[in-house]
Formats: sequence, structure tokens, C-alpha cells
Amino acid sequence: MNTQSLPIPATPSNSTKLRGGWLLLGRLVWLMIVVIAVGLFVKGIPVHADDLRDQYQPKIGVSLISNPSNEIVIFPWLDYPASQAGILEGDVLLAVNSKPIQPIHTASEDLVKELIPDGPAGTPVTLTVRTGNLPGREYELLFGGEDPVALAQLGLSPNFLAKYATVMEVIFALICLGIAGVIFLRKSNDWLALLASLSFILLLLGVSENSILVYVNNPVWRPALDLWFALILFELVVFFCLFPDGRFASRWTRIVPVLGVVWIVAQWLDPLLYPWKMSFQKGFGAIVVWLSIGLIVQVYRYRYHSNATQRLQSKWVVFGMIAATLGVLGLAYNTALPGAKLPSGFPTMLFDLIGYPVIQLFMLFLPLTIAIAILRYRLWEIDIIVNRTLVYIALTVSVIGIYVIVVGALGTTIQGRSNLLISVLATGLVAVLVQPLRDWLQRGVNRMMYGERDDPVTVLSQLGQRLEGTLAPDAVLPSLVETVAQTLKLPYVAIETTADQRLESPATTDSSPIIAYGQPQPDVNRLPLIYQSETIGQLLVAPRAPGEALSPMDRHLLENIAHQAGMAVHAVSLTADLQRSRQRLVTAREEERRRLRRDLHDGLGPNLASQGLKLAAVKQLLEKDPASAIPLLDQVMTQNQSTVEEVRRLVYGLRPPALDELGLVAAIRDYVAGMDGKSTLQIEVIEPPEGLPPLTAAMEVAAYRIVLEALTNVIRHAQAHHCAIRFSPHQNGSNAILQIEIVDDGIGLPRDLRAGVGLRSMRERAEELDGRLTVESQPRLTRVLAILPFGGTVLQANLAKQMPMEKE
Amino acid sequence: MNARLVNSIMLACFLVIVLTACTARAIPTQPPQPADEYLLNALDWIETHSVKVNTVDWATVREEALALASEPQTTADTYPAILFVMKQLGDSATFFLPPDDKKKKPDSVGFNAFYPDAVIVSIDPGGPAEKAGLQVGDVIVSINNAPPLQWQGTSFLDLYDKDVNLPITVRRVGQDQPIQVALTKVKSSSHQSTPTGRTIRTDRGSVGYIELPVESGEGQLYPTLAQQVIRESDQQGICGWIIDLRRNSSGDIWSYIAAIGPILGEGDVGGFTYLDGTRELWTYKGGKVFWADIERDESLVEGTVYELNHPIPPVALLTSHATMAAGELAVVTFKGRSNVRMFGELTNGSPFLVFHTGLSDGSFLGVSGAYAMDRIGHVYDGPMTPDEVVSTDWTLFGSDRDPVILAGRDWLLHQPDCAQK
Repeated sequence: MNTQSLPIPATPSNSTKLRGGWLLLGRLVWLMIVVIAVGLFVKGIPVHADDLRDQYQPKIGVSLISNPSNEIVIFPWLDYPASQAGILEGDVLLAVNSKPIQPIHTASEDLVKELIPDGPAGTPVTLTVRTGNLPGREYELLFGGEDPVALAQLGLSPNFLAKYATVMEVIFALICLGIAGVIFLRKSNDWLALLASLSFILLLLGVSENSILVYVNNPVWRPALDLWFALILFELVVFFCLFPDGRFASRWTRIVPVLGVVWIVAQWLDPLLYPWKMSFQKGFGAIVVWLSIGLIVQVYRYRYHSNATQRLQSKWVVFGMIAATLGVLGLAYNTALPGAKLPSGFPTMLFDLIGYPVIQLFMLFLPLTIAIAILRYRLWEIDIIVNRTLVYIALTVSVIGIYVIVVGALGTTIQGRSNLLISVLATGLVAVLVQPLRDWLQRGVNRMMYGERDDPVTVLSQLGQRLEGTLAPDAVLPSLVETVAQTLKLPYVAIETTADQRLESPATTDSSPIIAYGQPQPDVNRLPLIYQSETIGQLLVAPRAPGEALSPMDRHLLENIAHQAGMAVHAVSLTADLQRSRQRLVTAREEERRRLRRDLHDGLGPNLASQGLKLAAVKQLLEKDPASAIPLLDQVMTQNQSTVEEVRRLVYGLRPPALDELGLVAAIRDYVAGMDGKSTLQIEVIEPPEGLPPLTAAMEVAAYRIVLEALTNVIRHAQAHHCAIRFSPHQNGSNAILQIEIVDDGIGLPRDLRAGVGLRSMRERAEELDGRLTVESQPRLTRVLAILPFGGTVLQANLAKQMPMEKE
Repeated sequence: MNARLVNSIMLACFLVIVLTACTARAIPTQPPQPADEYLLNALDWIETHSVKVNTVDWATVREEALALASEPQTTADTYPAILFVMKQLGDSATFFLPPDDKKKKPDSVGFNAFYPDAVIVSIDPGGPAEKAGLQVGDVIVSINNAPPLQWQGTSFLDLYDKDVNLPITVRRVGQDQPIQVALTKVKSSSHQSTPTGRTIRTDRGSVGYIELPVESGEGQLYPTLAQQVIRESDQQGICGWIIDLRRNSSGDIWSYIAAIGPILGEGDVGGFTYLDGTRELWTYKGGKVFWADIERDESLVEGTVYELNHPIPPVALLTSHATMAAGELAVVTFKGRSNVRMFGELTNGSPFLVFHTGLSDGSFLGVSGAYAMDRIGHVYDGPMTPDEVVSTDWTLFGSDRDPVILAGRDWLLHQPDCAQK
């Protein structure tokens, strides 16, 4: 057996594997039970055929019994021609078609066949009968009966119906057995597969109409068959408890088989507890409750214990089981229950001719779904089948409804016309309506199951409307996820934006921000949000049912949505960036002003005041004792000198004076020269041969500060021997940029240092001018690269306005 | 499935329906019987089947009936005439059900009472009577504030068809004041009365007790369940049987014979005797019941038929005024059998075969068709007297203190089968 080619279940399947003696025993038991079920079914086939033949044979409706005086006594059936003509119970049959009956004494049950000829429906036969000892009377009877007449109206014979039913049943049984055989051949070493195939054999063949007929016709077998049916009910629910992994989902489900065994024993002791021996309501209720337990366990398992594969298996089997159980109950309802039969005549005939085979066809869902669940569950999606089943059931019900309503309405309006005209009109109307109806139902079912998936235009336009209507930037993303979740019937939709490391804003925490709609689900699908080929976040989507995969159609539509969402997310993050940088500018300006005020108020102010006081003292001394004024003047001079120093320092802090005096490159060279002897570092400053083009004041300051900051880092931390500072202007399309490189051969940046204060201020200076700054670091080579555009007029103007001090 | 395929399928269905509709033929069906013929038929049938025809001036009754329905247009016009005849014959087994009545299932009150004593003899568990607080042994004083209608039979409350709520007043033993209860009828009763029994143990030996209530006609399990009761007791060593028929007021004799067949023993157990002297025997053989050599389906026992450890045991039959119709036929099956003694009260007195037939419009008609006859040829046409008269105290019915059961038990224990032990 080649089990390797089969998909391997996601669960450890070892738990359901049979080995050695158990394997042999399992196969034997399986075979034995299948043989019993098939035997019952086959034994019922001729019974069913004979029953049908008898039922549809046109007849006058009498039983005949020969009494002790060897006369033939008639027992007419209610609602059949003999009774309708007035023949009464106990009347004695004297002649048929004027041919006298010879007195016979027989217990034969076939007296009717012997004495009364068969005839097609509607043909007459004359019976001469006698009531008591009164003189004989003649009755002309027309062969009939409601069911035979209904069949005869279609021109079909009872023999045809019997053969037709037999053929249908044989095909049905062969398909069941074929599927069971395939499962057995491929998986008979797996006891759960055996149990599964047994389930449908038992449900479809073991409790078929045929086996019920065997039950009805063989009273001696009834106690055994009662037990058989009870065991089938037991097996079905136990199977539901164990499928698909062969273990009980939780402790409480173990009660179910115990309950089943107790129930079986109780039934065995008191036959009145068999549901089919109770009154209809009680018995039907008991069976439904018992089967529901199995269903509940399966649903419980599906919700809380199964993985995705097992869920798919469960779905298949539950779908098939519901289809088959409805079928079995439908058939049993019409066969086994007294008083539950369809009205005789046309409805009964239609049921036998069409209803019965269709129900059987419907029940074949069970073996198919079980086989798929066991052998091929990964290959097919069940949703489409559930979808189509719903559509066609709804379609059938609507068509029948329309037909009945139309026939009823027409029947009352055009009375006296032929039924034929009415049915033709009704059929025509139904035929015209069916296609639009089907489309409409299909759309309805799709909307119910998948939301608006079928109509991407609707989804996208709704999305667009929502985004347009949303004004506050904060509300854009929540509104977006809500729209997607609602239109596609998804339980959870979220957008996760990539945390923007470049901003380094204290407001941004390390964890990624999530905007979500619905309850978070354990498994979600992630779709990248892309803007200009850059992933800026992810769209998180939970499937409609836990553990399910998204279908290709869903995925396609969601990818489209992700495109739109990408743009929205980008816009939102741009807005946020702008907000943040504005905030930073304002903060920086206020900081600057505070520092200046402090310096002027605390340092310069008191200093000048003290000089003024001292000068006043000198003035007094000059009159009285000029000689002693000299040291005081010296003090004032020194103080004045330091004040000038301080003013220079202040001004320098605002804008290095060297920049104005020497220009950028020379100022840096000057700074480097001033460091000579303070360290062993050799610093080289390189500028293009033709020199730098004129730079704006802001660019000069930014470049100067960046270089000085970088140099400070190199000197303090890098332990480098050489350092090169290169200025190079570039023309990049219409954008002119200044590229500044500071390269050293030091130890590089420590790995965990993500952004020190120095680095951050350098980056900020670059970004203020719409430039950027990158740091590459490895041992023996660290490179700080700043790129400053010459353009950026808007930003420059802003800067100029906000920092008027810089103009000095 | 694409639209084109669906359309073609629909077109095909359309054509099939049209074609079959075209080929459908008109099949002539049986014309209804003329109303005058209908009445003549019914009268002929009553005349030749009722054993009570001899008790009236039939020729006059028939003429008066025909005069009551001269030139009837519909069969319904003849009903007064038929009812008139039934009244003249005046026996408890005679009935006429028009088509509508036959199909209507009577509402259930959940108790059976017996007249003219108006005593409640059984109460369905969980039924309306139990909910209303009625008890076995209560004597009905009034229903709907009027004395209960005298109706020979048990389901007399059908007469109060329209009333869903019935105020009922009863007298209860040991209480001076009458008790008033309100009873609400239910649409249908799912209750099936089944044979029950137990083993009564004494120092001198054990006897089996089995009660055969009215068989409701729906459950085919009656004989099967009875044999299960018998099997359980018999396997505990029984030297005699008490068969309680005190509540058995109707039902199906073939079920009863099959139920107690193992105790009764095989052979011809009784029969019917007709007006013309014809006799038809009832036979119990191999677990099956035959009426004039024809097997009765009602006697079906599921599984195997039980056989007693000691065949033909002594039997104490218990009867009451409520033992009636098929219940009385069951008593007859034991008449002429050795080792039987009857305890209790006089039986109701209708041990008849009820003959019934459907009429052409679906009505149902029944008359007493034959008297019962025991296995030695004695004919019974009225109440049967017990060997020992013991009144039934319905409040003690079935209990260990039930005087009728005690009388039966004491007699059994003195029989050779029991005394030997």
C-alpha cells in the first residue's frame, strides 16, 4: 500500500494507526459490519420493489378470505373502488365478470390474484356479491386506487417503477460501497478511517428504507434489528466525538459514549425505550437530541481544539452528515411512521418517482465528504460547495413556491380550464424567472458568506468615500480598517505601520503602532503596505473563520486594497512627520531664547553693572586720591576685557565668526589648526580645486556644526590616526547638493549605540535643511556622510524667519 | 455552473413537463354510490350481521328507517335513519361514525372511568387528570356542573367535545366534602397503557401477577411486553398466576390471547357463535392466534415466544363491573380450562364479537355480530358471575392490600402446584 503519496495529516496520525493483531481485527470487524449492512440493504431491495409494484398496481381494493363454509368473504379497503361502490365487510363473492366462483377452501393469501383479473387503471370489472343470506347484487368497479391512478396518468406501469427503483438502489449501494472500498484500500490501517467509512455505510445502507422494510416484515428479527439500529445511532455520535484526530477533545466529551452505552443497555432491557417504539414526537425528539450531541461536540472541537487542517476535515464531514441525516430522516418519516405519510395519489407517486432518488443522491454527499476529509482534504475548498448547496436549495424552494402559488392563483382565476394550461403557464413563468432568480440568490449567498468580495468596485468606492469623508488625520486609518472589515465580513482587520526609526522622536516608542477593528484573532494574514516600492507597514487580516485560509479571490481584492491603504498610511505618516518637525522647531527656538536671556541677564548684565559701580568709585577717587584709583581702573579694564570675551563667546555660539571672516573651509582649517598638538590625530581637509560655490548662511552653519560635531566624536571616541574631511558639490539633475564626508580609521561606532546625542543633533541639522545624514561604521573605517541641498528655499525661509538671531 | 447550462436544463424540464402533461390521460375513477342504495346496503348489512335483530321487530324498524330518509340526496341525509336503527338495537357494542368523526382524534382527558358507577379506574401518568389532582377510585359527581352523561364505555368525555376546560366534582373515600378540580384537555395523548406485573412472594410460595389494561390499538408491542412480564416472573419460580382484567373494558381480543397465551396454553380457547348457528373457533398455537384458522396480525410477538417452565399453571382471574367487551372475551378463553377460578364482581355483560364495516362514503358502522363461546361450547350472552364475589376497592387497586388480589393469591397458594413446595 502506498500511503506515502497521500497528504500527511497535520496531527500526529500515529494515534489512529492500527498494527499487528489489532489491524487484522479492525479489518475483520469492518468487513463483518459492512456485510451485515449490505445484506440488510440487499434483502430489502426485492421487498421494496414488490411493495412498489403492489402499491401501484391498479386494483379494486379488497382482501379475500375463504370462510369455514368455503365461501369467499370480502374485506374491502377504505377509499378504494370496492368500498366506494358500496361493497361491505363480510359480503360474499359470488361471481366475477358474471363467471361464478367455485367454492374453495384455502388459506392462500393470493386469493385476489387467483380470482380477480388484473386490469389497467380505469377499466371495469363486475363483481356479484351477497350480503348475508340476501340475494346477490352486481357492482361495476373501475380498477383504481389513488396511487395507481396517479402513476397511470403519466402512462407509466407499476413494473417500470419497481425496476426503476431497484436500479436506483443498486447504483446507490454500489457508489457507497465503492467509496468505502477506496477508503479501505488506502487507509485500512487507520482505525479512524475505518470508523468513518463504517459511519456512512451504516447510515446509508444500515438504516435505509430497505432495512426498515426488512424490520417491518420480519418480526422475529426485530429485537436484533432494534439493537442494530441503536448501535448505529451510538456509532455515529461516537464517530463525531472522535473525528478527526481519534481522541476525545476534552474530558466531558468522554461522557458521551458512556451515556450511549447506558442508553443501549436500557433500551435492551426495556424495548419501549427504543425511539422508534415511542410516540412520534418523543422518538423523533430523542434521535434529534442524540445526534445533536455529536454535532455539538464536533462544533466544540472545531472552535477550541482543531488546527486549520482538522477544521477543514470537520467542515466536510459535518456538511455531509447533515445532508445525509436529513435524507435518512426524510425517508424514515415517509416509510416507518404511521400517520406521517404523504397524502396518497400524486404527491406519493411523485415522491417515489423523483423524491426518493433525489434524496438518495443528496445522501451521497456523506460518503463523498468523508472520503474527501480522509483522503484529499487539502485539495479542495468546501466553501464553494456549501455556497452552491445553499443557492440551489434556495432556488428549488423558490421555484416550487412560485410554481405552487402560480398554479393556485391561476387555478382560482381561470376555473374550468384544463390543468394542463395552468401547468404550462406556471412552468413557463418559472422557466423565465429561474435564471435571474439564481443570479440574485447567488449574489445574496455570496454577500452573506463573503461580504462584497464579488464586487471589488463597490469595496474600493466605499473605501474611497470613507477616506474622502474623513477629515481628521487621526480618523483615516480607523475608518479604513472598519470599512474593509465590514464590507468583506472579516472579524479582524488592522494596520501596523513600520516604526519610523529616522525620526528618533521621543514620542515614538519601539513597538509598532496598530490601528485595529474587531477582536484580535490568533492567526492573521499579513499583507505588505507599499508606497513607492517601500514597505511602510502591514495590513493584518483575520480569516472569516479561525484556522481558515483566505481564498485567492479574497487575497486578490485585499492586495488591491493594500495599495490604496499604502497611500493613506503614507499620507498619515507625512502629516505626522510635519507635525513633529514643527513642534521641534518651536521648541528649539524657545530653548535658544532662554539660553540667551540667561547669558545676558546672569552674566553680562551684572558684569556691566559692577563695572559701572567701579567707574563711579574711580571718579570719586580721582578727585581725592588719584593714585589709589589706578588699581581700581586696572580691575575695571580686566573686567571689561572679560566682558568683551564673553560677548564674543555668546556671538560665536550663535554663529561662528570664523565663518564670516574666513569662509567655511578656511574656518574649519583654522579650527583644525587650533587643535594642533592637542592630539596625535592627523586631519586633512579636502575641497574641490575650484573651491565651493557660495553657500547660504544656514548651510554654512549646518555644515560647520556637523563637521565639528563629527570631529569631536572622532577625537573623543575613535582612537583614530587619520581623519579626512571632504567637501564636494554635486549636480544631481536639477538639484544641486553639497556632500560632506568625514572619514576616519578608528575603531568604529559601538554596535549598540543607535543614536547618541551628537549623532542625533547632526542628523537634525541636516534634515532641517531637507538634507540627510548617514553613518556607516566598521572597524578601521567610519564614514559620516551629510548631504545638504542648495535648493530647499521654503525650509530655509522658514528657518530664517524662526531664527532671526542667526542673521547677526 | 454557467447561465447557458442552467437555461438549457430549465428548458429541458419545461419540455418534459409539457410533454408529460400532453401525454397524461384522463383515467375514469369509481363514481360514488347513490344515497338510496347506500341506505339499503347498510340496512341489509345490519340485518344480516347483528345478533340483536331477533330482539326487535326488524321489519317495522326497517320500514320506519326507510321512511326517515325518503329520497335522500346525499349519504348524509341517511344518517338519522341509520342512527335510529342503532338505537332500536340498543346494545353497547353498536356504533356509527360519520366520515368526519372517524378522522377526528378525540381530545384526551387522561383518565378512564366506568359507568354507571362513575368511578375512575385508571389515570394516565402525566396526563390532564393527574395534573388536575384526580385519583383512581374517585367517584364523579358532576362534569360541567351537571351529572355525568350515562355512556356505556370509557371515553365518555368525547361527549364534552367542545369544552377544553372541564370543572369536575368528585367524591373521594375518607373525605366528607366533594372535591372540585379543573381539568384541561390536551390535543392528543401519547400515553400507551401496557401490561405490567410483579411477583407476589409469601412464605408458602410465589405467585405471578399480571394486569392487562385496555390495549390502545396503536402499539403493536402489547403481546411482546406482556410476555416480557411473564418471563421475568416465571424465571423467579412461580406456582400460579393472577390475571387482572378488572380494568379491561375494550380493545383487541387477539392481542390479549397472544399476551397471556403462554399461561393459557395451546389449543382451541373459545369461539364465536352466530345467529345462524355458525361457529368460529379461536386457536392459540405456536405463539400465534387464529380466528377460524386465519392468523391474526395483532397477535404478533417480537423475538421468540416465551414458554412457561410449568405449563398450564393454576390461574386466578380477577374481574369487575368494568370488565367488558374484549375483556370479557379474555375471561371466556379461560372458561372450561382446568385450574382456573374467577374472583371479583359480575362482568359488564357484552361478550360479543363486534362486527364493523366501512360504508361507501367513508362512514364506519359496527354491531354485535356474534356471542362468545368457551372451549367446551358454552355460549355467553350476558354478565359472567365470578366464583368468589369480592368487591373491588379502586383506591387499593393493584396494591398488596387489594382484597381481590389477596383472595386470588390465597386460593392459588392452596392449589397442589403451590402446596407441593
